[in-house]
Parts: sequence; structure tokens; C-alpha cells
Amino acid sequence: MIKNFNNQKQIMNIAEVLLLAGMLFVLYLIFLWVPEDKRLGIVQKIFYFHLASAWTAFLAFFIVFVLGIIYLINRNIQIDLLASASAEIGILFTTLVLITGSLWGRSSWNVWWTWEPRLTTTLILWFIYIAYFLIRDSIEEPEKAARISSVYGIIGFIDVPIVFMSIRWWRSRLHPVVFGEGQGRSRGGMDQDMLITLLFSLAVFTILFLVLLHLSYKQKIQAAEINSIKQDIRHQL
Amino acid sequence: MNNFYRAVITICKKELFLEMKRKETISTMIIFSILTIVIFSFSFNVEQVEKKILFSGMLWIMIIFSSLLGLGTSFKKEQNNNTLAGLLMAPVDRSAIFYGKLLANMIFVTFVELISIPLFLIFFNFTITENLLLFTVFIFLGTLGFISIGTFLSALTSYSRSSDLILPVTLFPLSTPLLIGSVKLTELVINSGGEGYSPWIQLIIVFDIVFLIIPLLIFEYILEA
Amino acid sequence: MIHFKNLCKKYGSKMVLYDINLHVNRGEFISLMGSNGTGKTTLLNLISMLIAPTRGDIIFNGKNIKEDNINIRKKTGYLSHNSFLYDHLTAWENLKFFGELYFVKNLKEEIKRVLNLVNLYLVRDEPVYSYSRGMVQRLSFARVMLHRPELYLLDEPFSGLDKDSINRLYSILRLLIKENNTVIMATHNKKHAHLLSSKIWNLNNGNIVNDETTNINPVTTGVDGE
Repeated sequence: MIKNFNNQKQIMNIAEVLLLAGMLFVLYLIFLWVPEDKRLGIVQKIFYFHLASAWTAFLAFFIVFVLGIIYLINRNIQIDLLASASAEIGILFTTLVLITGSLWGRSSWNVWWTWEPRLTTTLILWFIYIAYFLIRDSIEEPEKAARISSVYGIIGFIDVPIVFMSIRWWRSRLHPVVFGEGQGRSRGGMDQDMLITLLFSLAVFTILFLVLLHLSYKQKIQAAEINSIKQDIRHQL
Repeated sequence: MNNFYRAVITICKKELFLEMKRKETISTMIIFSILTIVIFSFSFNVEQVEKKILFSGMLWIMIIFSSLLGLGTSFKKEQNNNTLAGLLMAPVDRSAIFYGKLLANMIFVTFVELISIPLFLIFFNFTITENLLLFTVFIFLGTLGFISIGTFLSALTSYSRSSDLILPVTLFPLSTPLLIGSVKLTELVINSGGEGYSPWIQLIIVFDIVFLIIPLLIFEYILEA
Repeated sequence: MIHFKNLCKKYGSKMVLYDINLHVNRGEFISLMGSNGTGKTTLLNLISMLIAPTRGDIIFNGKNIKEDNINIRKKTGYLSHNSFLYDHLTAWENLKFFGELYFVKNLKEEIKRVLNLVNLYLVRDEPVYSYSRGMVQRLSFARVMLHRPELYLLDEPFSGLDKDSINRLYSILRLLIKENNTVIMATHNKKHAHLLSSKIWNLNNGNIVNDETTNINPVTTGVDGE
């Protein structure tokens, strides 16, 4: 997997072109093609970014979890660098979820923040993975940092569903309204055009994630190499 | 398995023994608990506010913050003379270290609770007559979960330069479900509604079990010197 | 007894040990020589399973230490440059704790035996923080011997000791050799290495550069060549 990552530059170039085209196409779908929501109006369009960011963040943290297990088994430091790249992007998209959620809340309920279950879970998720980097950066030896953050990435992810359940139960009596989908639409779920737009949005965000992951991973590999060269020089002085 | 059990007891005994000699951790935890009570009474004007609303949250804040003091030192104190390496070389599965520490921390915190919770009730002039048994069980289940994940994270963060800062930052988000569940259950017991316990009990038990069993599988990876 | 197969250990990008292939026979006393930072302690840590190798295997009595690590830990005693002792416990309490951790039978007699060997029996009820450097080192040695390991790993056992303590340690080491134990000792002191060991390994740049056999019979030769 790592080898493929390094060697197949063409694939990345194709992915980047695909990403650019996809982004333009999805922007067209969201802002020009898909009809406006009848009740929520234009602000509903943020939903395509909100949900896609949430999906990407979740995917990123799932990858951290899987790579954590793989690292503990094979101890390849590159696996850990990939995991940390994924966690970093996960935090980025979690932040986007929080911001778009807050904008949404402002227009729907006239408040900047609401303790709605999914949004609250996202906030906790944000804290969990910020702590991932706090631990990681406070351990000097790379192997130790890799091992500890792998273990943390595993438990962090296992904790997420429990956090979600607890927060949902916690809020359920106070806010029975479910956020996002289901509002102002016919009872069968989403409008078909909206669903198509959403699916495209998810796909483009996933490609964006993979391209970012690749870039961040390459950058981390180079940083590690520079560090080791610096160390060698320090030893020789 | 028998050896495993014996090693757990040996390590727990050692912890208790060290604490009996030094008395640092437990006494600090008790003093801190009482201080929390005093701070609450200053900040919340408990004379006038309906106590039932605040009680459960205040109680758990007291428990959690005082436990944090004990958890913070749990693995940090093995750094002197690198005694942790001595434990790691013992011919038992390394998770025995975790369970020994867990048991000891549980005993410390329970001991502190036996003093701090009655004091809490006295200072706030609060009585629990009905459901005292349930109250105790819920406190125990909540404490168990918190100490399990806390002991685990105490080991995890013990390698970090600034473990004192990082332990709470990792512990609080990860233990959110437990805090929500424990506060809810205590609230329900006090207001003696008697209904709606079951989802919260399930939640806490699931949390307890998950964080009692996961260390068995991955604790070994934390403690390589 | 122990076999190193292509053993490598990397810290970050730094190769501390590189491709070590060696064999230790039962009853051998091996001195690991080399200046600081050449990986002596790393090798001992690898054998004691405190750290995992980057590559390669260590075979102990025909078994890979990755697979049978609990049994092998039981047969290993490691005198590190850290004492592994609890400062606030007494010598007796420390040994009792470690004895129970290693499931030592007849623990009381065994503790008495090792405390007498290192001549600390009289101060057994004093806390370790009141001990001198030499006494701590001797007590660590008692801890290592308590569970009667087959393999002793000693990291600079003589550093910081006065002549008396060194002599005492010599007699203990000679006893270990007489009982046909295997010892791997890291030291940078040539004299100790030559007086005690049957083999000397020189570590340089992460590899063992030469493997010389000394002609000295360590059992009969003392520190002063008595």
C-alpha cells in the first residue's frame, strides 16, 4: 500500500484532475442544479458540505483506528505517519462540521450553538483527536510516540459510538427534533435530486480526502527524513 | 491464570503499602474533595437554589476531580529508579500491572468517597434515605468506569513530557458517556423517580466492560520501555 | 543457550545495533565492551525484552523470546543502571515484593539467603532511601538473584562502587560462575572484563567487531589476582 502510494505518481495526477473537475461539477450541482429547499431556503445548501465533511472526518478517524492496529502489529513507522496525516485531516474536517453546523443552527434556530446530539458528539470527537496530537507531540522518541498514539487512536475510535449513544439519550427528551434530513421534505426521505447531489458531494469529498492524505503523508515522510539527517549531522559535530 | 491473579494482588498490595507509608495521595484527595465542597457553596449559593438540581452534578465533579489527583501519580511514581521496568520484567502477562493498579486506585478512590460523600451530604444538609443501596451501586459503577479508563490513560500518558497536563485533556472527552450516565442516574435516584434507570445503567455497564477488557488486549503495547 | 539472529535495533533513523549473529553457551561469562552509546545497554534491554528488536530474533533455549516470553522472563535477571527498587520501602519489603512477583517459593529463606550474600541482612528494615550508592547496588544484586535466574544480565555492575563493594561483588560473581550460570556483563572497564569473563565482545558502530576468548579461568582469579 505504501509502495503504491510512493511510486504511482500518475494515479495521483489523475486523482488531482478528477478532483478539480469533480469540485466544479459538485459546485454546479449544489448552487445551480439542485432545487432550493422549500422550507429552509438557500441555507439548506450548506448541508451538502456539512454532511460530506462529517463523512470525511469519520472516514479519517476510522483510518487512524485501522492503521493503529496495523502499526502495533508490524511496527512500520510509515504506517504511523500515514495515521497521523489522517488524524490531522480528520480534525480539519471536524472543524468544518462544527463551523457549518453552527451556521446552520444560526439560521434554523437563531442560535450559534445547540447541544444537538450529532453536533455535540462532533465536538467531543474534536477534543478526542486534538488530544491525539497533544500526546503525540509531547513524546520525543518517534517509536514511542507512534506506539502511544496508535493505542490512543484505537481506544478513541472505540469510544465514539458510546459517546454518540450517550449524548443522544441525554438530549432525546429535550430536543426530539432530528437535525438535518427529514425536515421540510416529503415523508419518504430526501428529494431525489438532493440525494444525487449529496452522493456526488460525498464522492468528491472522499477524493479530496485521499489527495490531502497523500500530500500530508508525503510531507510527513520528508519531515521525518530531514529530522534524521539533522540528527546525523548533530552526531557528527 | 492463577499466577496472573496472584501478580495482580501483589501489585495492588504494593501500591497500598506504599500509600500507607507515605499517605500523600489519599490525604491530598480528601482535602481536595472538601475544598471542592467549599468552592461549590461559594459559587452556587446553595442555600437558596433548589439543591436537587445541582446535587448530582456537583457530586460527580467532586469525585472526578479528586480521582484525577490519584490517577495522575499512578504510573508517574514508577519512574523513580525506573521501577516500571522492574514490573515489566516480571514473568506474568503485563496487563497484570494494569489490573493491580486499577484495583489499588479503586480502593483509594472508594476510601476517599467514603469520607467525602458523607461530608458532601452534611455540608449541603442533604439526606438520602430511600434508595441508598441504589445510590451506592450507581456511585460504584460510575467510579469503576472512570478509574478503569483513567488508569489506562495514566499509563498511556506517563511517557509524555507533560503528563499532568495531558491526562485530563484525554480523560474528560473519552469518559463523556460515563459522566453523562452517572450524573443522570444519581439525579434519578435523588429525585426518586424510580423510572428511566435502565438505559443509563446499560450505558455505564457497557462502558465499564469495554474499558475493563480492552486493556487486556492492548495494555502490553503501552508499556515497552 | 542464547542465539542472536540478524538482530537489529533502530532508534528513529539511528541504527544502534546492526545485524548481530552470535551464540552464547550455558555457563559462559561474556563481557560486552565498548565506549558509551555503542549499544551495550540496548543489547541487554533486548534480551530482557524491555524493548523489541527492529528486526531479527533472539532464541533462548531453542525458543524465540517473542513466543515464550513469560517463561523466559522468569529465567532472566537484569541488573540495570536503574535499581528498580522502591525508595520508600525497606530492603526486606522490596525483596518480598519482587519475590512474590516472581512466585519464589520459600520466600523468607530465599530473602535471607540473598541478603546475607550481599551483606545487607542487618539493615534489612531500613528504607532504601537511607542507603549509600554501594548498598543500593548490592541490594539490586540481591533482587536479581532472588528468583535464581539462569541468565544474568549486568549493566555496569561496578560503576560508582568502592573497593570493598567491588570485592564483594567479585565473590558473588565467582559464585555464580561456579554454579554454572550464564552471565552477560556490559562494562567499559578492561580489567574487570579480563578478570571475570570467558569471552569478550567488543561493540563498535552497532556491531560486534571481535569476539576474543580470554584464557583466564574466572573462578580462580580474583580482583587482586589473589
